[in-house]
Amino acid sequence: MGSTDLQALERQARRQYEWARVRRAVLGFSPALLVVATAALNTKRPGSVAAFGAAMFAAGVLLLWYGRDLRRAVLPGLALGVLPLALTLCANHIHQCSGGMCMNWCVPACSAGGLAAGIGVAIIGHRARRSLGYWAGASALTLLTGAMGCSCVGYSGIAGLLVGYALGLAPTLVRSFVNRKPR
Amino acid sequence: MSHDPNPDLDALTARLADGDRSAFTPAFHILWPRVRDLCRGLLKNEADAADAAQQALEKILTRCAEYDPKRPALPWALAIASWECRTALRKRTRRRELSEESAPDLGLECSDDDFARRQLVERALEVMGRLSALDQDTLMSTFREEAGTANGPAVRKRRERALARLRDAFKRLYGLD
Repeated sequence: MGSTDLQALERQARRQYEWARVRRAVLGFSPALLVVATAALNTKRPGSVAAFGAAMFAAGVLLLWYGRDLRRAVLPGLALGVLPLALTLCANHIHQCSGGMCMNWCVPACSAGGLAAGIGVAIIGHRARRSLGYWAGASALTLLTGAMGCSCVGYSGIAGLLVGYALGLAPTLVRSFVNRKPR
Repeated sequence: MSHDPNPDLDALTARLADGDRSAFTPAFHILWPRVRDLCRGLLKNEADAADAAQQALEKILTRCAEYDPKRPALPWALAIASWECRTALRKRTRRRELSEESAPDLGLECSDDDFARRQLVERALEVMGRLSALDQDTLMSTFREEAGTANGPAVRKRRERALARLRDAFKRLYGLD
């Protein structure tokens, strides 16, 4: 076999390798669709859940396809993103009414869930001394998962999630990278 | 005690399984001549061997994510390649409508497991030079997994192995290994 044929074979094998990784990533992350379906069935805004859910699924598949340190962000990102999502879905059913005014607990639930998720992502990343890829990947997945629930009150819910998450994550993230010795 | 004749290939395959694309070209160039030689030895026909070797190499590289880094990479790859040769031989036999008697006897078609095992080990030996116990174990277990032929208690064992593989695949996919 000539060098040209060998190069063609290598290119073909590389394509197959990447496709196999894509297939595994889609298959491996497909259980996350159950989270999307559960959220869609328990919300008044299934459209935004579907949009954020699709983005979350695409992000998870991308991280798993790429592999290396990024794939290690997928499970913590998804699991911790379920925190604000679950809190918000529960909060959707609670209204505190007094004097003709009703208070929705969605925004506080988003902020509290985001804070807890941020702390969780930070603890895992700090303990395992993960790279920047982990922090970015886990944050993206957590926020997109949480946003499926926090979109219940529009941008204010998502803003609450972002603020809570940033407050939970920032101290440990800064400490982790400041204390890290250069390799 | 097992030896490690292909430390580079083991490391490269493990890196590929992890998603390190820079390991692809070196792994490809280490694997290609060995897979081609094995296919030549098993099929005894240059054209069929070239086709089978190409398909085998693609299969090996697409299945890198299944590679267990605790095992040697070359016997694992050769077992996949030998299964590809067996498939190629079957196709050739069907195509030419030859009887089993007139087809070249590779042993891999034979139902006698010991004979098939001996043939495969002999061909792998030609490619690798020598085989440790771990190499042989990897070679035979991978070949049997490819074959998927089992009965009674073997089915149960296969199911257990399949579950273990699924667990390992999950761990590897999410980087929990």
